[in-house]
Amino acid sequence: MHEVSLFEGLLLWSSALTHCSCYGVQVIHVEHLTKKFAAFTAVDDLSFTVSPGHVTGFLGPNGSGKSTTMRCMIGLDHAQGGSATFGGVSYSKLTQPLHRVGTLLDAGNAHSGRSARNHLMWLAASTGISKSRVDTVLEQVGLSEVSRRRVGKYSLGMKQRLGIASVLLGDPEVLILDEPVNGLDPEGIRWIRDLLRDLAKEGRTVLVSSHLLSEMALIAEELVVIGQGKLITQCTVIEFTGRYAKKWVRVVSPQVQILKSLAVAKGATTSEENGAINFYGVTAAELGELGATAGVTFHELSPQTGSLEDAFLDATASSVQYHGVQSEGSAH
Amino acid sequence: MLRLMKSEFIKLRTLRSTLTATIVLIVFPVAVTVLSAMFAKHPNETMVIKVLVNTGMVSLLLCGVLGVFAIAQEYSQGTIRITFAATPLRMKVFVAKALVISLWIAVSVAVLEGVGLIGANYALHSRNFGFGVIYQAVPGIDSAWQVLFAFAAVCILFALVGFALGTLLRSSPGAIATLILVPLLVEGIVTGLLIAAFDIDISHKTPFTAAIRAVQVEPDAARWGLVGYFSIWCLVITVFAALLMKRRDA
Repeated sequence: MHEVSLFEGLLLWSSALTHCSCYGVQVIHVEHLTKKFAAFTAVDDLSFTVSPGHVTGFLGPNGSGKSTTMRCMIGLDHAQGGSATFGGVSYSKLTQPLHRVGTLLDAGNAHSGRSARNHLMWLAASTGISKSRVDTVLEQVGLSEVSRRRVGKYSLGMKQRLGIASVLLGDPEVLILDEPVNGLDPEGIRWIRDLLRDLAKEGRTVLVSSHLLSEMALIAEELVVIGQGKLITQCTVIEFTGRYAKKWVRVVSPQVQILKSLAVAKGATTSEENGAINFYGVTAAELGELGATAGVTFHELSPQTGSLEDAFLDATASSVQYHGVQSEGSAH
Repeated sequence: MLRLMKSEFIKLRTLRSTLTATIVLIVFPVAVTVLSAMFAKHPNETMVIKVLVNTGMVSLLLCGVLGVFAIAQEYSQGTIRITFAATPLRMKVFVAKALVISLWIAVSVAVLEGVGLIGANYALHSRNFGFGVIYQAVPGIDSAWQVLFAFAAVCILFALVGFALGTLLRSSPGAIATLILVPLLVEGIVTGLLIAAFDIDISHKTPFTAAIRAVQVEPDAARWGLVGYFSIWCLVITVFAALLMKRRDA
């Protein structure tokens, strides 16, 4: 009886120890990070925190400093000021960093003349990871059958999968991925979406940058939004869209023109859309009351909120450095 | 360090360009030396070593090219970022790379010299020439072993210079061009200009010329002095490259 309880105790202790060492609280703290290239300031006194347990989206227009920030976080670029720590420790002081932080900065960072398996083999050898783990991650990302093919023959999507395999190789607690869905087909996008969510659910810290805002809306729970190297906001996706996205009320009614004239008189603006009228600057309740006093029949009265993309464009409008010429249609 | 060296070894052996350069580095001088032993009308005692070392000049340059490949391809292909992310202590990466490329070259040159000598010896014996090839290269002054060891040392140093140039320039074409042009052209032009303009002869102080003189089969008591002189240049450029690698953004 005594032996059994001691054994159970040891099991519990070792399980707790394993759990703590694998998925301990690995908060990423970026504090006053500053990176300059000659006179150009790419990252300007940037501070944010990334917590474990959910996916954090890292958003910003082109040239806003997302990739530079990620490179500075893992010591590839030397920051002129500030710091980035993982559970309180800077990346350069992590022992066996591949086991602590997995990074994918560019899917193209693999020698085109080397096979995918050999690419992972040298990476594994540098930190004493076994060959069987290489085969496991190749299986996990779906590249087992083509693992002996040279990377130069891979499509962008396959390179992306190889990059993700290298991130998973050390089974890290923190994952930092720069545009991981670039080049992936719909099945691949769904796969990585589920993978990142599952990894976050396991208690890992996941920071993902992406330009595909619709995808980010599905993956991320929290956002860090930057522009011109500065923090614009850090909040949840719901808070972000609530704060920055446009809100309007969609109305379908046989007497919609009466309602329109009443609402405009109260300062609202309108636009037409497929037989419905969108009202801006007025709430659904106010429109309902206005309609009731005028005897308007409503077929639809629904409050609407803009997408994450709309919110992002609004939030970063003053930070966009590179503009394209809008076509007449899109401008309209 | 051993893990890093194993990793660097995998990088070298899994690239076609590295393997091709290594094969050419070995096969070319061996083939020419054996063919000379087979067909030379009047083979003398110094012929085999002379042919091996003179055709080995191509190998010498290829050693430098392999040194360039060991690092510059990492920059051009972007894998250096993964390397530094896996091992943030860049000095360890630099040392591991330098050690692995040195060992790679040492083994390659040992194979080159061993196969070349055995092949030439066999060819001479088959023609009923009654002497082996391990003999005095320059009787009374320098032994064949001295020449062969000096050649191996200079090959390793060339690889390290290539490695350092690859680190500094982060471009294979740029580093290879520098590695070829400096010994073949730049040193000669600078020496010629200085003699013409100021009557100053620095031909005995130019590093690559010293390295090549160190492996000549000629009476030259300063063979190891020349190797040492080239080593100092090599050390300076390697240390400079290491410091720059540590300081620069990846």
